[in-house]
Amino acid sequence: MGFRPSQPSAPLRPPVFHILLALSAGDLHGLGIAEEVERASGGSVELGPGTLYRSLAEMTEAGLIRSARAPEKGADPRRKHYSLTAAGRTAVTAEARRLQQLVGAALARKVIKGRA
Amino acid sequence: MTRSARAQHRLFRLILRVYPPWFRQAHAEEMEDLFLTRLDRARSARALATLWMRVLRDTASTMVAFRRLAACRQHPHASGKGHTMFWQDLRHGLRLLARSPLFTAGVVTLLAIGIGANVAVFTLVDRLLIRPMPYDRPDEVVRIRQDSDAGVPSSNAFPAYRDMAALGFFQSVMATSSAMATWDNNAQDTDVTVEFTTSSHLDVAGLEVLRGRWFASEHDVIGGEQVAVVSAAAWRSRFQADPGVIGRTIRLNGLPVTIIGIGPERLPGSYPPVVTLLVRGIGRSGEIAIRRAMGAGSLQVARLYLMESVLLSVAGGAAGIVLAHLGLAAIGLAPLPSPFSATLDLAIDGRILFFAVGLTMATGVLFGLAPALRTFRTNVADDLRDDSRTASLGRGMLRLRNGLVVLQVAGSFLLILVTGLQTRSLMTMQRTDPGVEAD
Repeated sequence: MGFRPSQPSAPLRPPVFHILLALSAGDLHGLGIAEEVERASGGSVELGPGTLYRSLAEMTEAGLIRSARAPEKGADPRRKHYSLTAAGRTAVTAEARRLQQLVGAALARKVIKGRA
Repeated sequence: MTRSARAQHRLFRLILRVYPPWFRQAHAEEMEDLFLTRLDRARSARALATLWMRVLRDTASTMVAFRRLAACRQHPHASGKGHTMFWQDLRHGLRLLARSPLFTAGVVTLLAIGIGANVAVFTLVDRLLIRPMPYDRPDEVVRIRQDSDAGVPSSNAFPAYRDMAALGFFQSVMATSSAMATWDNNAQDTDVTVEFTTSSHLDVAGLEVLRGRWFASEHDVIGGEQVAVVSAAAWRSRFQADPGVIGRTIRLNGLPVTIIGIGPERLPGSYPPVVTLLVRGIGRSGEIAIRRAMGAGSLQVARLYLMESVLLSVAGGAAGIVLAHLGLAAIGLAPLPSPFSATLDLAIDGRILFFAVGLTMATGVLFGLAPALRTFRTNVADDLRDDSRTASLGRGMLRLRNGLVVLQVAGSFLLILVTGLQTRSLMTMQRTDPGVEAD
């Protein structure tokens, strides 16, 4: 079952978005994704082990990500790597745009400071 | 690794056991690594507490999702028809429940308490309030009390009863007085409620004894032979419905008393509806979608939901009836105020039982149906999206379910409270001055 582009503006569940975002820079294994999500969010988002691996299973099923070969030699063979699919990239871009729009609106109303 | 870290690692591994085997096989090692990384970073007691709280929350939410998913993966595609399919569903439903004993035990306990409290309370309300006194024509029965010196309605002396009976003003007059007595039951002392009464009691009540005979006028003589009639309820509960009990001599307060009969069976009265609200989990759409995506047809998933729900309801209902029975037995042994005392039969009524079981099944189907129906219009991709938008119904259902749980528990407590209050007011009512002055 593929990703439905018919609803491009529907928000993604936060763990799904964070995982997609982490994978957008390159393939990672589960632990790497958890670390990347924490790093990117400044430590404010900590995916629980169950949430992380359950989300990975769901997202693989939905075709947003797929298993990938370990990027470097000598990597722990037990660790499964994941990479973004085209559908996953579409989804993360759409979600980022949606958030950008919201942030833009917040900036325009001077709710937060920054460049609009 | 320190000793404490090793212990915590072991605890985490133990927690991992709640996940379905296929998931553990694929991810347990990596999950442990992730946990150990975070454990290593948690230096303060507070950080450790936060870590564990997050682990528990994360496990709980994931467990609920995968419990269903795991069951679905093993659910075969529909094969066969009619009863074959039913047995297949039954087997899979049972297996699903057995696989998560904690969940099953929790739901069954909740249902048992809900149903048990309701059945017990309704039986009490029925017997104490709704059903009339154990008399044939309760509206023609009056109770006469004499004021004590302090002006409080109190009891009559036996001569006063004789005078009233001799007046010929009433069709029939009986005197009664209840007390606790010690029954020397095979050298084992048991407290029982006894009611002293006159032979005219049965005329007033307009009832017939179940077996044996009632008191005759010769028994009304003070100092005469001590005889007793065992209530129908006590005959069943304490004498195992043994007809040979008639003619037997028992010892009450150390005195020999001969049993001459078994008290009248109570007349069936009107029955209140048993409003037993049961709550069955309404699954979140995310889980259902995965199950569908992983190959189970909507129909199988829906059937499994129903079966699981009904199985839980049946188990909860059965446990609830046992609880109600035990509760009522405990209440039945307690001293109760007259006029309930010795004639009170607190056996769970067949019709109340029927209502309880019927509603158990109905709610089982109802609450199983809601998530089952949702399986027909769910798309996996939708469920990866935020619940707050595309799957708002799922969240709404979750809220509905939580609301229903609260409602049921609150309802049960309210019923108990109302029954308590009504029993109290009934007792107060007995003390009300009817405005009739006796000369």
